[in-house]
Amino acid sequence: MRKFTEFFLGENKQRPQIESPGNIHVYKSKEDISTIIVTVLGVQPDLLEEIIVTTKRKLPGKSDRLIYLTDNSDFTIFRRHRVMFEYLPPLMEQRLHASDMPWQAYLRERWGLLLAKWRPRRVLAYGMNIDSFLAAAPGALVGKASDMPQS
Amino acid sequence: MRLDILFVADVRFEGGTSTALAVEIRAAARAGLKTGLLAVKGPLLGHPYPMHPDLRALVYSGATERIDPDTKVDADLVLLHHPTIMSNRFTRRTGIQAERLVMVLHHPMVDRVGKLQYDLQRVISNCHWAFGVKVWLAPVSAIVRDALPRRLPASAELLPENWTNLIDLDDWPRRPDGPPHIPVVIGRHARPDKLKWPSSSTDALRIYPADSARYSIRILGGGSFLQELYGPLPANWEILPFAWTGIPRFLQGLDFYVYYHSDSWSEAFGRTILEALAVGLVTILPAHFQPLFGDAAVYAAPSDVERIIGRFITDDEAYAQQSALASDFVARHHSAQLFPQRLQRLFGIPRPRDSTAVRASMIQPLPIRRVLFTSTNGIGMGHLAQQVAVAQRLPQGLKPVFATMSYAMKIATDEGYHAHFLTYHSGIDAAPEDWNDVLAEELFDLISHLRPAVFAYDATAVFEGVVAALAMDPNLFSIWVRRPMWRESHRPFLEMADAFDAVIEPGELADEFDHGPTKEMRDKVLLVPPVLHLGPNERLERTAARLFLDVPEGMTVVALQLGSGSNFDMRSVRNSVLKALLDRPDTLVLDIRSPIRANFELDEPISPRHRIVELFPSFRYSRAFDAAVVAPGYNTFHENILGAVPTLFVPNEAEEMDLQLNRARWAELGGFGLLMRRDHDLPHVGSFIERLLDPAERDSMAARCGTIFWTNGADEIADYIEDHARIVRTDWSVARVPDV
Repeated sequence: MRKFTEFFLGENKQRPQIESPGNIHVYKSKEDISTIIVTVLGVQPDLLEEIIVTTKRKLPGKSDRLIYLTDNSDFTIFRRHRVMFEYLPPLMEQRLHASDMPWQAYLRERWGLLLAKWRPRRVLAYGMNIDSFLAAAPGALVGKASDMPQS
Repeated sequence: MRLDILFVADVRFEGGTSTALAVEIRAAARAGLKTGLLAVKGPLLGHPYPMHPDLRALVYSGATERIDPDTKVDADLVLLHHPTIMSNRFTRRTGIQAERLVMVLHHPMVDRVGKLQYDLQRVISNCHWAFGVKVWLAPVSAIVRDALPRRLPASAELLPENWTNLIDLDDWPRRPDGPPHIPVVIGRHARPDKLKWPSSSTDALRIYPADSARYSIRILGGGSFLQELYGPLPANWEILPFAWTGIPRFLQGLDFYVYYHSDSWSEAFGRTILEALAVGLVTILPAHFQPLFGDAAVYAAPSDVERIIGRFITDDEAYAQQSALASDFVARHHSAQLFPQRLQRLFGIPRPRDSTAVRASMIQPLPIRRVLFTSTNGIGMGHLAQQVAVAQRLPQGLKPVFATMSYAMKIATDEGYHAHFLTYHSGIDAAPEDWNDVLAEELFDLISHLRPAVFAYDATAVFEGVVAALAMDPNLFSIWVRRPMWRESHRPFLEMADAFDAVIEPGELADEFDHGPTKEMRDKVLLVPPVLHLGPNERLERTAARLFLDVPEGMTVVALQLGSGSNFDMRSVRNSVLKALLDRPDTLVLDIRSPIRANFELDEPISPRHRIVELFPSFRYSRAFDAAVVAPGYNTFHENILGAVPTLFVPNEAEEMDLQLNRARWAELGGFGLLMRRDHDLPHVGSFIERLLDPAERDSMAARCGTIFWTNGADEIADYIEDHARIVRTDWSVARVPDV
């Protein structure tokens, strides 16, 4: 398996890089589809409806797909609008489960993987942008090394 | 942690090895020794056995401590049971410091036909690698000792005495004194294995005669293999399945214990024989057991068994005398009370210690291990709900984390669990092959950061992405929980079972009506009782539930739960049922909608007595219901039957669904519920509703449901996960795998 962080997280992490992204792409066999990631991290749930309606209305082409990146575990609003979404655990849950994993490393890797997965031509941010979200994640692993099973 | 003894064993062995280990642990605890148990998953057992119940009971009672491989342990003695568990190297480092290592050889190195049973050189080398000390070999009998090579491998030495099996005499009360019954009851018990039986049917019928006027033959641990071995079995053979409990009572009901095995089997000791002797049974064996049991048993060729039995039947005094010899022999040579003396004699254990240091070393919580619960979407949220049920039952020290494709992920986060969402290909319009590549990366990413000890997958479909991610970490213990009642179209997924270390099948009340492909795999899976998220007793009381639902006094409440309808149109059913229910003025319909339904179109109640509600878990409130009309998916079906809710089942008969019709048929024919099929019965909906709401009919259905004995399979799955979260694996060779 690959490490995606280095592929995608350059100087301006909000904008996808053009380096070779490895071989994963969820629309690999549907090259006509282009995507835009809309981050809605930390957005109040009652504002999501308006964001979705607005971004859907402004969607430029028929082959464009919007992927909303949320930290809200209630997916009803996205399903009601029949839009695609990805989820990252919110800061509060990261802190609650801080000892489970090295969150910052995971989320940076996860974001790199999402970029590789969707190959977005743009990333739009509502609420907290992805840089701030990643930077706010619990940094070091709280659990002791002996808590980690060895492979 | 300072221990007198650290026991190291594959705790899944179902026979004498685990029983002998349990006796030693108990005897050590009685002697005041501090012991621990490190579980190894060795290569011998392919079946996903759980931990032996005797060993589990000892851990739960505190007689010994469950040891995590990372726990720092200083042990005066490591007692490693069964050489095969060291056929490969430990696949991880441990924190064990051993002063002395004894490996109990429960089995001869070569069997009677000269076949090598384990490579002693390799086993010793692996032991030395894992513990760094000399290996003392402890054969359980002269048979095992004699099979050892004259020149032992370097780092190995032979104990001067055999490590004979011990038995707790209190657990094996003597059979009542008195002469044999008429007909004479001959019996035996052993794990179900052809090798434990005489090779030829001629010998078998000499040993266990078919003459029902004179003999009754009782066999504990039989099975279909006996017909394969001998053909049709005599009518006087009573075959009972292998069991872990109730053996003393079984033995007490016998007059003679007669045990012969295959010519190609080499019985290292014969713990089952010891148990029979302890009970005081007159025991007849082939002559090669004489060095082990001396005058405690009688020895004969198969052709002489009947004659010997005849002699004892006609001589009560000889029978009583032989019975006394048997139990006296066990008391003198095999009593568990001898264990502390053995430890003292051979190893000078227990050692005197500073008691403060001992007490301080005892208090050590086990390190936290994470369990990654991964589930697919399904039409409903049953997989996720089932996993939450298991997660809730995990002990402290095991941390559940969820990764699910279910849109209902919130039910996990609402319970306070750490959860992640994985997109499903149909939800994002992706080609399955592209999506699988991504899924593999997503799972690997999560696994590599989370480093779970157990991966528990709940789904019917096994995706290549899951298989690829698991292949990256062979030490991650993986479990596939899949329900029964599959359709034939799901069969290809069965082949994916090999990607997992274990398959668990939650039980199905309508099991007899399951003819799906999983049925053929029963001998390869761990079967557990039906799993419920909430048990019937965890529901709200009726008054509280009706108060919560704001039900007016005197109303008859009917729950309507027909599923999302996305693959099987239930609109006609819903409309007809609603009309029939609401035509009755005392009826209130709770139209329960899934929080993750596909259809978000607003629909309005059609009457003040029709309420559309989102209720999860609806079963919590089901004591408020007087009846229900539901699609019999796994969860709803088992909830309504076990919760004794009088129910009209309307199966979703879509091709991709499980065999809901069969479940509903089982309920209908057994009087547990009613069945109405959309395409066959809808014109008669009125009479179905009339029957459903008839008080006598409801009482009858509830009463039938109340007769079902049930325990929650979620408890067993949680136990199984706990058993495997702290294992050392030797079931694969870390030295021989390619780079992953």
